[in-house]
Amino acid sequence: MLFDQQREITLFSPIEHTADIAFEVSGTNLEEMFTSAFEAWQFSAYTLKANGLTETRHFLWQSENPEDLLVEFLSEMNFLFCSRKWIPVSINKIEISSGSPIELSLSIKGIEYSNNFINFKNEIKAVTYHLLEIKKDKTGCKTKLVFDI
Amino acid sequence: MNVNGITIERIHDYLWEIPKTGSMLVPGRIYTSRKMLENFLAKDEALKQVVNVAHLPGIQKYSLAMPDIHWGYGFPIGGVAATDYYEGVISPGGVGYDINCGVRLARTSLEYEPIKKRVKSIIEKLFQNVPTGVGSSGAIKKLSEKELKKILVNGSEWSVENGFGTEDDLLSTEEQGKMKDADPNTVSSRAIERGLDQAGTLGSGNHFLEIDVVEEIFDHEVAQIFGLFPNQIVIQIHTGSRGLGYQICDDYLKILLKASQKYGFNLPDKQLACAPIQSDEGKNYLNAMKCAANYAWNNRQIIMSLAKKSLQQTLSISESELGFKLVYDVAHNIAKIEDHEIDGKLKKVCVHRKGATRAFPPKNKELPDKYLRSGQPVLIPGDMGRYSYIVAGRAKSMDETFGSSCHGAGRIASRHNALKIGKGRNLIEELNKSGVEIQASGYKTIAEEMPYAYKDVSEVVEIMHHSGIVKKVAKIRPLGVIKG
Repeated sequence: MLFDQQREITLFSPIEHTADIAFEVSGTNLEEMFTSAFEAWQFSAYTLKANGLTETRHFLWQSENPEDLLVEFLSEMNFLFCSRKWIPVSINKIEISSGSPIELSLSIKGIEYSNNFINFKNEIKAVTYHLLEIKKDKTGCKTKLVFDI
Repeated sequence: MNVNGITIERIHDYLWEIPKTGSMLVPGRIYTSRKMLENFLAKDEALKQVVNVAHLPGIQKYSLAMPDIHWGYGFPIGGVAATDYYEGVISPGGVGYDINCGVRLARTSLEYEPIKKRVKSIIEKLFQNVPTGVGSSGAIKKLSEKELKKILVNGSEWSVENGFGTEDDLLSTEEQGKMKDADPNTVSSRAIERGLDQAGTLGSGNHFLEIDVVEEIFDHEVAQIFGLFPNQIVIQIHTGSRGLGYQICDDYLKILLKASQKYGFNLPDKQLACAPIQSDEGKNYLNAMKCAANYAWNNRQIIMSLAKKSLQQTLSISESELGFKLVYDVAHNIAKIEDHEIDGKLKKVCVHRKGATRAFPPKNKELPDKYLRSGQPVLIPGDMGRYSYIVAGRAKSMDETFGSSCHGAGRIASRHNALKIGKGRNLIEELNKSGVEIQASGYKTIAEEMPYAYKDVSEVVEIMHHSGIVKKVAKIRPLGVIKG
């Protein structure tokens, strides 16, 4: 379980899944929960061995529901990492609008990598919809998240 | 009997039925034992997934599960479902992200005793020659988009044309290594991009390349037809369509989620997203899936060629001395359009096999001439420490399971738990002591893939054998393995 003292929230906790890797991710609001989900993906995909020259990229997604938005966001990060050799490292700014469609605006720092920069941990085939259902209550938002490896 | 709130009735010792209730369109049928029901199936949601699959529009007869069943996405792993070709649906959840993940078995003329001291060197050479692990690339030079599209259409034929095999290999591959009517125009540019530099790579996770010895023969007549004999050295390869296949599944899940709403399907699980096979969405997915399937067959063909070269190099022997021949190659994540007898009539159906293997019986016209008498070879890999099986399809598979069988052992421990169990142990030493040499890209993979993470495959195979779906032909034992 990872706990962020600055944000005073549990970032993500591994949960049991027979074939792949799964987490419960949470946050006091959707933005924090999405950030936790991103960090769960990072935790599963790689560890950084060294720093490199960072660049900032901006993204905008729209969807009818936050679950689809979360899958799109993490799938894009996974694609950039697996295919474009660009590691998303840290989120500068994340905003999720309410209304229909819901909009996710993201500014994220990353590094173009060679194998010297990172230790690969798992090859994440896909971010799945399995168990994905964002629940909101007084404490914030949470969902389960399963990566097919 | 009640398992996780689901009523399940015994048909015989190895076949259990979930009666059709509520909005299920057909009953569920699971090939398993009471012991497996109580020890494994009570602990995850796989049975619920069998129930969910029974809601697919156009599903025929039963929502089926093989004895290696465990929790998957939409379908359970080990799930089989046939849908009416004209009025039913196709679902990427019934194929999986790793389209045409499958296994191939190649035999040699070599025997164990003369080469047993060279196994470590062979494994080292294999690890050197076959790209493994996360982010692996470079088995062959990066393909052009034009060349990749040739692979998507022609499958293993591309390898034969480019010096990675022979025509005989094609005859010994399911679909001759090429599903017809694969259309690269249905494959996204992202999927194309992911496929350009991964041809001939093993990948990671439970993918492997193994050198085995034939330890036991159960059916000598069929073993002879397959070219197998006691103490023979054989090679197993387990891998799939890599990033290209994962991307195709991802792309089409999004499309078919929308299609499910468009066609008014009320499905119990988003991962069962589907479209009528005859719709544009359904046809496009099927044609894209065929592209990924062809890529995977070509992938295993290239890796087999690299394995053959590695053996020759390490042992300094000629091609004829090695006697390297492909026994068969099977897909275990795929959807196929096949004719099956249903209620006394021959019907065209789409058979989804998700962690399940085709197992056609003797005389089936889809088989190469050499296997018409024996039935199709079915390759069932176990974990890397114990054994794997070669079995042959029987007529009962066509009566009961749409010509399908199990595909492997099935996981019982999560990766997380497997890592916990392995903590503080020297797993490489443990494998070495049990006679298995191993080279892997990461120690973590070894811990996740240890024998204690899997069911005993012999229990899985016995269920299929005693049910009459397949018959046991040979058992093989690992000597060495490379993993990503």
